[in-house]
Amino acid sequence: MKRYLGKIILAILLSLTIIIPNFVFADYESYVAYSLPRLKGDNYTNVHDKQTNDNYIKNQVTALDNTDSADFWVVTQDGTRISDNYNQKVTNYPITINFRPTIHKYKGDQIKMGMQNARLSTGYAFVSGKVDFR
Amino acid sequence: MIKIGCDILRNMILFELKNCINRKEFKVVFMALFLISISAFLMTCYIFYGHPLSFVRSAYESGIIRGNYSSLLLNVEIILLPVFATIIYSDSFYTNARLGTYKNILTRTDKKIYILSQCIVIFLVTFFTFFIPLLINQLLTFIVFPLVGFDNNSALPPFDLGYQKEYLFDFVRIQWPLLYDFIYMALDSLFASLFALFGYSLFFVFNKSRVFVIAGMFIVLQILNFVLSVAGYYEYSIEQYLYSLSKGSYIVLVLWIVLLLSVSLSIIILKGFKYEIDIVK
Repeated sequence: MKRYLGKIILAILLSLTIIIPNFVFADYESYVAYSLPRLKGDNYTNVHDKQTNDNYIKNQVTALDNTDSADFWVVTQDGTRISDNYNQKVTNYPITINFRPTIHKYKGDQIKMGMQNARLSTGYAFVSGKVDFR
Repeated sequence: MIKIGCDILRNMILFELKNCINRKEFKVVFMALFLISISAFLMTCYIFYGHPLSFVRSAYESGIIRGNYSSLLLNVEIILLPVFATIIYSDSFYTNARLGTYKNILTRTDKKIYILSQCIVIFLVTFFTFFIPLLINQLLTFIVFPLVGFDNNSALPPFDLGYQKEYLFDFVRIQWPLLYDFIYMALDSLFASLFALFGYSLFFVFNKSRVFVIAGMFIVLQILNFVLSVAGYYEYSIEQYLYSLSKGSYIVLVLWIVLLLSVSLSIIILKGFKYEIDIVK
């Protein structure tokens, strides 16, 4: 048994190196009933500092009121768009929104997420969910 | 006797079809819808030009029906759908009655056949006026975009199909994406035809002003959509069934179609067939 102890510890440590980062950086921030203004008006989350060098964010929509889907995208602090538009419905798992291929954002860069109703509605709609700016 | 009746009806349909296609209103609406379709295509091309293939979406998801970037144009088309639809040829009876050509036509044919032929022409012409530009947009996207996209509108990984049965025709979307696009093209065109027919029937009831019927129908529909949206019953509005990727009930969809068709036909049969020339002044 002693012979294998070293290997077992090594295996556990290696496993942890794979598992731990997923937990350490899974830093989801909830947003509740963010308004999707009428006539496809835009709304944004607060600006957040990136915690990693990942070129994507993860966003999960948990509830939608008065609409069936909403569009999401990522912008820099000054409002420059750095990702394509993605249409999201309510899901029970997060969706990865990749940045555009020529864009590279690093730890400490400030970004925020934009959102709008997928339809040109005359009434307000609302979205709730959680986002990990990575 | 029946054969003669059929011949008269066929001739009247051809006559009305010719009248409709030569009308300025038809040409303007067709051009407007055509421009919307082409603009939607060009807008999508502009966005994706220069993107690596891994960020390009499939042709099915880049057309005007499901396109993320061109959705504003489709939204405008759907909101103005009742106006566009009724402008095409719905006021034909009203215009003919005002100009007096109605009397000349009735000396050569039966009033019922005349009204029936107009209904058929309005329904068919409106349907294809909406369907053809949407179809052209879809065909253009097939030339430019790949059939299989490495990216998709919902940012889903390739193994995730995003199936949710609450969304209308969602199984069709996964199995036959082109059929799904065609279903929504046909639904939009069908509702345009139904609005046009409904507008045509309204002219037998409100015959004072052309603008009153066209604008009135548009305003009433917008108010109805707004009230349903505010009350939290947006899933019951007509608009809900004109957009792809919408939740809804097949029963409500069929009910709207039956309701619009039956109300229009009832007014046409009860009011239109008994309509007298002298009433229009």
